[in-house]
Amino acid sequence: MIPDPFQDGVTSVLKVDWTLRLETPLCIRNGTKSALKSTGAGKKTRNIAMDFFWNKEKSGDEVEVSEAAFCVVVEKNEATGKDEAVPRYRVSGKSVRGALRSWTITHLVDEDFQVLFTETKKASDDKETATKAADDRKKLWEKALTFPGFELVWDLFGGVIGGDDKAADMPARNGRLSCLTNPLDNRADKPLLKGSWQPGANSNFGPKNAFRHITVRGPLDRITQAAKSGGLHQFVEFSPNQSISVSFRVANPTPPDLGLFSVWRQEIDSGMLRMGGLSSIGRGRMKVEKASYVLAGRDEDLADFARLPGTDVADDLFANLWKVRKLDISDETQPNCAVEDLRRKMNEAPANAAA
Amino acid sequence: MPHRMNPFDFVPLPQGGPRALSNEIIKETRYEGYIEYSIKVLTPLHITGMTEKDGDHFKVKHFNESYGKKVIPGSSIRGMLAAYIEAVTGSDLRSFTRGKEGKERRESGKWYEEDGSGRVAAEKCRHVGFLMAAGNDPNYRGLDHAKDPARSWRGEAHKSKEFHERRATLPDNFAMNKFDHEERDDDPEKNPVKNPDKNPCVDLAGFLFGYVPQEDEKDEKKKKNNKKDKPPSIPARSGRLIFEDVTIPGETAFVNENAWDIKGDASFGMPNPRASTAWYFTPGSNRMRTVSLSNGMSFSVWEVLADKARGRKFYYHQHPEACRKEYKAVNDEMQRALMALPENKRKNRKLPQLVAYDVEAVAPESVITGGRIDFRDLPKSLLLFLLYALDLNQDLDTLPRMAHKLGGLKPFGFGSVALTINKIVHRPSKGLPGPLNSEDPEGDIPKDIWHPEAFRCLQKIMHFPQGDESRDFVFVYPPFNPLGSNPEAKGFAMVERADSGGKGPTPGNSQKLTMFFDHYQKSADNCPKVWPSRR
Repeated sequence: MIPDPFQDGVTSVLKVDWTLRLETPLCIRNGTKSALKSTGAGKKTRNIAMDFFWNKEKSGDEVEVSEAAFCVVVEKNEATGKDEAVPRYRVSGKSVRGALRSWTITHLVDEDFQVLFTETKKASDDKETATKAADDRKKLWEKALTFPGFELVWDLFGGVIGGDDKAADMPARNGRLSCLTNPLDNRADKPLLKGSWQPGANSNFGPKNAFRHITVRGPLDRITQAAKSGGLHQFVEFSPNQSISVSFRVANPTPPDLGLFSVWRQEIDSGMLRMGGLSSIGRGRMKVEKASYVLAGRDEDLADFARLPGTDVADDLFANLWKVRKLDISDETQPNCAVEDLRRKMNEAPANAAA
Repeated sequence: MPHRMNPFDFVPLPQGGPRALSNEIIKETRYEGYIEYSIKVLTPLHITGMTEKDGDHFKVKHFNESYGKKVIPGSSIRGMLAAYIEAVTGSDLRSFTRGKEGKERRESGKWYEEDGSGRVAAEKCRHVGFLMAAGNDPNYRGLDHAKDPARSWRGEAHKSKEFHERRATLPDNFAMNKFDHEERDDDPEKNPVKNPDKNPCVDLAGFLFGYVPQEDEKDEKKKKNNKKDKPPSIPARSGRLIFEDVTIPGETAFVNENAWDIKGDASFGMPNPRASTAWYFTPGSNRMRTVSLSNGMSFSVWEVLADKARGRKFYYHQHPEACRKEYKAVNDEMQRALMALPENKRKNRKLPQLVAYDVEAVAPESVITGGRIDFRDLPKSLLLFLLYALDLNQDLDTLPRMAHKLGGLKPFGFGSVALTINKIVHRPSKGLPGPLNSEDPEGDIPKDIWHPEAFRCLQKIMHFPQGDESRDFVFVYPPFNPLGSNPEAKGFAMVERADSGGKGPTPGNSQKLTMFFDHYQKSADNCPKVWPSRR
């Protein structure tokens, strides 16, 4: 049975910091568009004399480019000394968390229960049909909770079962895992596109804190092998060989949670777990370049992790009410006892009763 | 004058509709993992990147670059393989332009005429339209569909400019994503909350590559008007294969091959490939129409109307140098014939001037390593089939050597490649993952995966010529004929002068050799070597 999250408060925290290196391009979009224009080169040319207009709707003979995800941060302008809001490219924590969640559901949750994580809209406008559908989902959820894989995902990531049919009192739960990222920290003045950039009067290359490039896809008609009408599209994506920093916090962690991080890391390194969009054309493969795992909590709440190698860290912040322990999980290719705990949990027989 | 076969040919679509993936395969244990492969370049490989011109012709086409490196895009490999797998398994069409022939407004200002009975008399229109759709596609039922399924409106509230003389251009059930409207047997008692991904009804290519619905209604008003009686919209589905870009190692040899262009805005080769070029259809009926000239004179022409789409287009393999020489030889021959005409007859007859330009290409015999294809949730039969589709030669019963075609300038011999599998790692899809297994998967591919007729066609089209065979494997587009006595004789349009009446042209009995594609191919001097059984 999973206790309600935080019903006894937060008594321990696992902080995981990863540095992820992009092995292939990463495509994360946020719905914004930029525009690209070939200036005066004419027919029988491609990628010659290009103007780029960041975060601008296309007009005239400009072509639309789907932009990479960015955020807005407040930074001090060194010239003026004033704080100002500036755009910065960033891979959001939601993207990372979502990829991990999706992998975990696909691999650890029984197929019959996976639908509980997908369809959340109301089944029908007819009240009776909608109520029956909601009841069926709730019964399925109760059954799913008796299986260790579903329970693990529900407990760690939380979720919402069912749509907006509030009358059926559908289950919802907070997760214990949060993920934060910082804006990328590289510098490239303009996106990379083979061809000569002709910075026209209005050319604006947008945030400069990431290596990025523009990719074109042009599907071909199977019958004529000509370009499919309306199929050509372009998008900005993050280039390989740059790093992003990701921080996770798990409230009230258990050894299987830590085991899951070890498994995720192996899957990321082997390319079996990818992030972002366009994975069909190989985007989103990464490597965990650096990893650190720090546990903080009351002695009794860290007891289950005692078997893991690590060193206590002196930390006045918690005034010795909480201990801080840096874990030494250095060899990710070998199973550690946290992974064994995870396997044991996954091999448990379904419980007899729902939570 | 003898001619060579045209550089492309067609693999027919199965007349019974797209073939569903069997339940037995769907229910197999699923695997995930990845395949590492190499690409052996058989003829120069070019993926077009930046392109420069000199005056009004190409100067150089550079190789594609991405993030500062020369790269074969994963989408190119994916498209190459998807096209092959769709064809050889008889799957649905995954990427095509719904398209209709361009219309021309009549002098009356109407796009069509009515003959008093309420039916549109298409024969009176300047051009006859078509719609790339199956006859039973519910999205395109017309007002008079019941009377004549081959001829209909698009069912819009307003009489539109979009008239389609020919609607049933694809076999039934094609281009409808038919399978998403059906469900396999599923026990509603056991699974009251259905998981649409758990037991999909799908064709093989859809299962592997996913599906994105056709966006052929850009006009929001038309979309709204057409909403009645339309089947529910089909969601997109993700595929199970992941194709990474292949970064070309720095030490790989590149060459500057030559290709032909012509001076002017037009590019060298086949007229802009679009479905309204009648070679993409089987010939239907003939009709005679009158062409009126500005000087008041008029004449009649026979026009061959399109019937059904021929199928999926694939290019033959050939060596670029032989192809280039053939075009030059034909052009020189035409030039000599033109110069032999008296000066007054030479007037107004122009031959396009060939100009060579550079193409940056990976040199033949190069081997590009580092290719990677991931697979997820794949039944073992389909994993074995995927391995076959990559290197094509696993089946030792297939005697002719087949190869894929990748990248640009395919009609001119570029892009013949052979893929070699270097490593495959896999494990069961479900559960906490164990180590990846590097043993080759064993088993047989179910024979009914292949569509026999499609496979026979592809064996011919995708055959890579060995040794002396290369002499016969030379394919060129039919040339523009400046010696023709009239515009119809010179050009590529499917019309010829109706000088002597009769019933119109038929294959083997027409003034213009290029009127009928199949006849053109069969009568080529290299057809007996390339496709002996075709004659």
